[in-house]
Amino acid sequence: MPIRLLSLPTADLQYTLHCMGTCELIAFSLCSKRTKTLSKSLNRKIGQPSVIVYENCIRFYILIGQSIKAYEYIPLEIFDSCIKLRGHLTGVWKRQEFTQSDWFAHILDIFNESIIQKLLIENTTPSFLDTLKRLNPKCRLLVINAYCSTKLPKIGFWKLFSNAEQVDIYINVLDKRNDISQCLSRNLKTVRFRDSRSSIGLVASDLLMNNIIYLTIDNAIITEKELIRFVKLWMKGNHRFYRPKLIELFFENAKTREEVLRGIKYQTVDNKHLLKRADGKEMLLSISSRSVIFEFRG
Amino acid sequence: MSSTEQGTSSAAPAEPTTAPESAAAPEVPESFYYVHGKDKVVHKVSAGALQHSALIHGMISNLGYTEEQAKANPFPFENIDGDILQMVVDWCNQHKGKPTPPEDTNLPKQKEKLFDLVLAVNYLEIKELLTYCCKQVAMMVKGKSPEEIREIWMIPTDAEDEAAEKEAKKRAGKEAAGETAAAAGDAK
Repeated sequence: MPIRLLSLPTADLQYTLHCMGTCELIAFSLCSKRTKTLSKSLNRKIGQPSVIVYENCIRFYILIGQSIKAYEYIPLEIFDSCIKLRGHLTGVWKRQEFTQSDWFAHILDIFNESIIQKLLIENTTPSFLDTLKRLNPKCRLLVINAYCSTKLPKIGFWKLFSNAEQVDIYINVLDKRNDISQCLSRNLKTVRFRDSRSSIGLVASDLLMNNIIYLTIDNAIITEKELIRFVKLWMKGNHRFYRPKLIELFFENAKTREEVLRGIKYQTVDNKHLLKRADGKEMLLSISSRSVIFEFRG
Repeated sequence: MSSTEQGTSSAAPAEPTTAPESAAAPEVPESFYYVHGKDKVVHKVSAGALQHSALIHGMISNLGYTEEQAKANPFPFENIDGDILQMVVDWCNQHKGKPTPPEDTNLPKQKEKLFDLVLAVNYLEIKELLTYCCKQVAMMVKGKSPEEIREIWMIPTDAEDEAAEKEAKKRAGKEAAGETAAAAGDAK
């Protein structure tokens, strides 16, 4: 029994659409340009979706439910020309002219969502990376996995990292000296290089130029001499702004505490080594055989 | 509950049977009003039941009709089908003097009439019933695909929307031209 929904008075139409489930609202938005505009005008929230990007499919986890007490995330699997729904609403919605990028843009658009909670790139195509760059969604956590094909992690990292609050990257994209200095000098919040198979070579100047607030490198190579040089140069840099709050470096080859602290004056506080600059700034050093952790205060 | 009587708006309705009053009801005799829809069937409804409708409540609050005057002047709702008005009156009687629960299972279920019911309830400004009706409309498409939703809710395609827009523009242009010509004629 059909009903002319769009002929309802505006307030009733809006209320009816408010009563719809999130998946039904997506389906409704796909009916026409007008229904898309109506869906968008509801300002429905999908609670910062999580997105996993595979080579031929994007899995989009959206929040459904009317209240925060009764919600669940359901996955939408996006392919070229169709969306597959899983969970309580199983089905396939087709739209021949839509590519993955169109679906992705459509969903972000109707929910006025510009933040993605977690964007996990398992593998993808350069064109989808371009779409992401164009849509420019902010991202709480960007994860680039180790399974990506050879060139993509690097392209993805350089295209997307500036929009992410935190980047976890499980494959080494800093294989050139130039890449390292370029990356570390960016004003990023948290970057963790998690590839333990491939090392990132550092020198004192890389650490001095570093602008990343929280930096973790799981497989770093730096000589004791360069570490000492970094510490000494940092100590001399009175009244010079230094943005990082934490640098965690992990090594394959063991280092001894004596080698790292040779010629440096410090106080020992709670098994850590405290260095104070004349301008009051402090560096707290934790050294174990396979890691050096710098905390900066003041 | 309500009673109905076939006739015109001027016809005096038969004495209806009304919903039994609760034991706690006040002793003061309840006043009744009369409404009819497109089919001219007159429904007797208590003032208490009519309070659900902001429109009718606003109308009667200023009238101060006696029973006889109310009988003689039923409210005409010519834009509402008789069976739809009957549903609304039944609902108002069932919920007289009490708020509707969020999920009211006592409400009309006739989906084929849902659209007309929404329009009527919107016109009569019965907020609680309208809320429920809108929920019912939304439930019609639960678990449906875009194609099914298009069919159930008779949603035009983009091409149809564009054609309708062109048609409306053309009509508006013609009307504007007609008005200009008429104004020019008047000026002469």
